[in-house]
Amino acid sequence: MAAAVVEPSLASIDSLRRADDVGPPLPPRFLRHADPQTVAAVRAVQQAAGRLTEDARLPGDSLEGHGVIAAASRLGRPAAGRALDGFASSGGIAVPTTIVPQCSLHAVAGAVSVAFGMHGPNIGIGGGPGAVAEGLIAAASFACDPRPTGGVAGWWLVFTGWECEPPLDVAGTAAADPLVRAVALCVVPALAEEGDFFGSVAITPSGGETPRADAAGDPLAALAAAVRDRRPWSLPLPGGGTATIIPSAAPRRAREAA
Amino acid sequence: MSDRQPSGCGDAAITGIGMATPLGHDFETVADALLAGRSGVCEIDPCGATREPRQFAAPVKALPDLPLDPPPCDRLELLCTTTAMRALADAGLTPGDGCRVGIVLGQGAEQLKGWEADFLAGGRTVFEGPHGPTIVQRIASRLGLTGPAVSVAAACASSGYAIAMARAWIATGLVDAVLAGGCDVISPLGLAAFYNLRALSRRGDDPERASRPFDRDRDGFVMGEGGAVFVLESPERAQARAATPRGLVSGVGTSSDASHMVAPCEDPTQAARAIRLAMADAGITPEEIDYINAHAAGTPVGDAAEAAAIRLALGEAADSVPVSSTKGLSGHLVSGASAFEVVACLTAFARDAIPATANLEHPDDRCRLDHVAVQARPARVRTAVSNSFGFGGANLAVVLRAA
Repeated sequence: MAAAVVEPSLASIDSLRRADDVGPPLPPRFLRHADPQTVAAVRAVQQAAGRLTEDARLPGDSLEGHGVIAAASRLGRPAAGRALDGFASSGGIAVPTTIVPQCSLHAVAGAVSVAFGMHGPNIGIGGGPGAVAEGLIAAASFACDPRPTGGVAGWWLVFTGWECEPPLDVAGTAAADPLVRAVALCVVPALAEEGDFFGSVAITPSGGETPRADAAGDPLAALAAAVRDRRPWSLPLPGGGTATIIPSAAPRRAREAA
Repeated sequence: MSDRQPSGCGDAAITGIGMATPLGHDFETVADALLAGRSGVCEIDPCGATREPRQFAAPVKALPDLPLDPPPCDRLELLCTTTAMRALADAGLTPGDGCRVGIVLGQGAEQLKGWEADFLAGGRTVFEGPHGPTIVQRIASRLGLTGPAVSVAAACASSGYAIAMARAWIATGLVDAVLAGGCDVISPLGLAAFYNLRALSRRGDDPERASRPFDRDRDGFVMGEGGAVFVLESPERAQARAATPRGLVSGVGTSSDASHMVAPCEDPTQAARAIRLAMADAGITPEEIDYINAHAAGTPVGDAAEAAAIRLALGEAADSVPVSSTKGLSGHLVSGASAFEVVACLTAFARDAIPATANLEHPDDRCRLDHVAVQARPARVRTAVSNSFGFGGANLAVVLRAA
């Protein structure tokens, strides 16, 4: 499966902003003002995309035809804290122009799209504690139903959040050094026609009881572990039913098809 | 990239509307205001957000007064909840009893707005927590919805993406009906951020004339507030329960500029592609479009880029397809803009008239289109396209049809 998990500590985020990682290059200083979740997400997509290109698993090396669905949880807290503190002490002039584009829910999806030149849709999802489940529902809605895939050659499903929500001081600095977690995986509908998936997401309806939103513990941590182990993973959905991610590592026919 | 799209999603019927907007809170009032050219823009208290001596915007006035228990956490939740409840009432729909209803709302910056509202009220949630469930999750719980509850964000196209997702849910049978749309609120932090970006109009001496989409003298957008939530269901289900649709969502097209996180893309290729994809999805030609509700917010670069995109997508037909931007009256509702502008299209269906672009006195040469300027134009409108473009290069076009 074309996937990657990036889990930097908050203290190491600044070095990750500058790191020249494996995979497609980024525009200069692209991550300078980005939220830690966006930094981790972009690096995760970069790693996974690097593997895609190396393995020649795509029909062409370009990500131009790809779209991105990015489910984030409480994105932008550090910058929002600093901006609010600045606003309270100095008024509107202290509010940075980056607060809207970098701290809104679509920031991760927008950044991935811009960073890698993806012209498919870019969509932010969630924002709160149910972000992973919401992201899977969105993926099933837009990316994995065979009908609405349209001209999108591949979808990047990106999930981000904190390992543990850090308390911040008024400067937006975290007291501890928690992990920022990003999981990126690619679904390629075009290859599905050939019988190969990089990964698939399915929603299975259930008539049973509606599971609690926290029934799976920390779903992002569980998803990250499953992606690392390349094994299927399921999550009960708050609205009923189950979402399942099924990885696949079978590139041969896809490579031939490409 | 291919422009092959047809999603096979088919039509989704709009059988209920709930609104809270600068122009009113029910369909007839808003339609009257749109066609009469009544502006929702007025002077507001800037709360220290900008350095302007007079700050203006298009707020929701006289907030809807519905008894809510528990009370909403903030103004955004109030607007979203009341519009959702009104949409259900308008549709005559009761969740439960075998009716699986989901909810998907465009929420571009819910957390940011929530932290800000709490902070300005003396709270410290942004620093310390707790961080509770999202607004859609709270609405789902409050209304007893049994379908999925999802927040979707694509900046100024957010509520349009919510409508697109809702249509997919209906097509795949995930739900029987969906509450879809979105709202936004004016806040000091948001006002300051857009002001500092130089995205806002500074025509403080004449607020009602400040929002001037496509006009050569435009100088930025005017912040608006509110939005709309719709009940969407399949036409068959609507017919079976004798509901009267106000319109149909027949096609959706999406793309990304992949150009810049903030600046509008001057290359119209991807925006035009979204419009073409929406037409292909609905199975229509440019000649079949009776009206385009433009995103045009009144920014110098964005409006010109959209005009170019419309021309690129429609070709010669662009000379004769009427275009207007209702942001001249409503301001820019940001996350709620797409949903509100669907209401403008439904107005054209219901009233046989196209709302005008207010304050379009001197059309910019770079925005050459068949503008409906200043005064509403009588016309039989059966098919309309609504465009939405946002930060992060998010492009969306929706094709609507009269029922």
